[in-house]
Amino acid sequence: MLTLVPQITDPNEDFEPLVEAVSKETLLHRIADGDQTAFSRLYDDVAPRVLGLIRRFLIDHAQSEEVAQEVFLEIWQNASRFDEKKGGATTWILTMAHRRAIDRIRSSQSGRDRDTKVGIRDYAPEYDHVSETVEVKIEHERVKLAMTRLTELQRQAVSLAYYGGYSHSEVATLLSVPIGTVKTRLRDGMIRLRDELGVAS
Amino acid sequence: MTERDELHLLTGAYALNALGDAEKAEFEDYLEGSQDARTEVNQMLDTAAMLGLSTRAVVPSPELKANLMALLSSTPQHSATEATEIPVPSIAEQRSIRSIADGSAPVEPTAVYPEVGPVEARAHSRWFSRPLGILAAAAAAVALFAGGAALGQGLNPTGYQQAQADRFVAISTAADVQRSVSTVEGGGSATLLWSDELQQSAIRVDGLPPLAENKVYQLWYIGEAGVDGAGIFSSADGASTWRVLEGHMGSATAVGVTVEPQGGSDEPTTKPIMVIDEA
Repeated sequence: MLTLVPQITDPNEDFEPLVEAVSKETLLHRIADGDQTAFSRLYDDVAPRVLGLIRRFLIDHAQSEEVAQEVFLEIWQNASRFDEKKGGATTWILTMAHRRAIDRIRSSQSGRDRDTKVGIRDYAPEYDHVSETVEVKIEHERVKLAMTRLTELQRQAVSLAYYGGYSHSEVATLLSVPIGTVKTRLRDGMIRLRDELGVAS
Repeated sequence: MTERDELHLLTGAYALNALGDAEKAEFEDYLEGSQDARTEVNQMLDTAAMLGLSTRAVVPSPELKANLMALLSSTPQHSATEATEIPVPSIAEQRSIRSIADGSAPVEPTAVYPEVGPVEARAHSRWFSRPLGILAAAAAAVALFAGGAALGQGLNPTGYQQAQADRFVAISTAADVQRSVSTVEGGGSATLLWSDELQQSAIRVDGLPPLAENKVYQLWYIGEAGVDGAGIFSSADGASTWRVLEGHMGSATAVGVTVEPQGGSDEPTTKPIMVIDEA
């Protein structure tokens, strides 16, 4: 009888599996314990963002999904290593996605090949406009605006590194500037972006 | 400028993933010893994530999730204290499952899931989320399906693929799932998964020879009572692909694959390239 009490006194219990709002951080902790339902929910939350980022680099949809699969398996395997004190779940996941996408282009494509790919990266036939929330649009606008606060060289260097997947030495070659300059521009540019976007702890 | 200052300059490049391997390792050593650098890097990683969030979202195919859910139970997890790395299998080992998206299937199989209302879905979901690892994926599949139904099953153009993906997950995570791997005459391999309890099976093929445009692969349930067609599929570029067989296993004791004209045949017209026994 005693075990029934909490169920009776908690009217929300019935809805828990479908509507409970759970942070991604909490989901990651549950995934670390082998909770596949939590994994499924996290996937639903972040998969379109993860795939969207990967598609920036890899135009081929099937190849992008392969990389996304690697990212999610890595999340499954390494969820216990996620440490909230070091940063949020979204950062942890997107950092992983960015790294794996870049590993893929560095290992499979020549630099020349990528020049054209970056040029046509916005081609995305499966893009679901309905799923782009107002929140994401605002995010996009904020980043676009923050980018305009950078010097031209900072903006070019940051864009080539983050969206183009180029290493700092490749960026130096592409922009015909010394590598030391690229290092400082990347750092100055990121500090400026951080301040403009209000990211500080 | 000292060497440490030199290294500190790399915070931006590091957060943007723009360092070479050697430099990255050197910088990570430096990070270990510098709280200031760690703070700066963490802020920059958050900033970089915002750059990532500003890219367009892309909706994944239902197969990606189905495939992932099917892989979880066989994918080991790190414990928090464990020091050794478990590498994520490369794609060569863990080929992505792709659906047959060419629309060549002649008949949509009858839905095996009844339309479930939210209450039943919750009941299912609760029941399945008992701490039996293998059932959790099934619960996810049920929840996924219920969500699809709520949005208007039938209006969704990928409803068929979704149903296929859900059934594939159901079979591959069934408590009594059995597997049999077989090589294919002419190249490639096939894995048959089946569940006696569900009376269903699915086949996953890898590297099958590509067919002429007017040919398809056809699946057959083979039993003492005869041979029943169980759907057709094509194998575009020898890529890994999978298919849930139509109909029920019944008394079938084997599954065969033949090459048939476009649209499939009523009975096999060629010698099977493969027969897998359901022991």
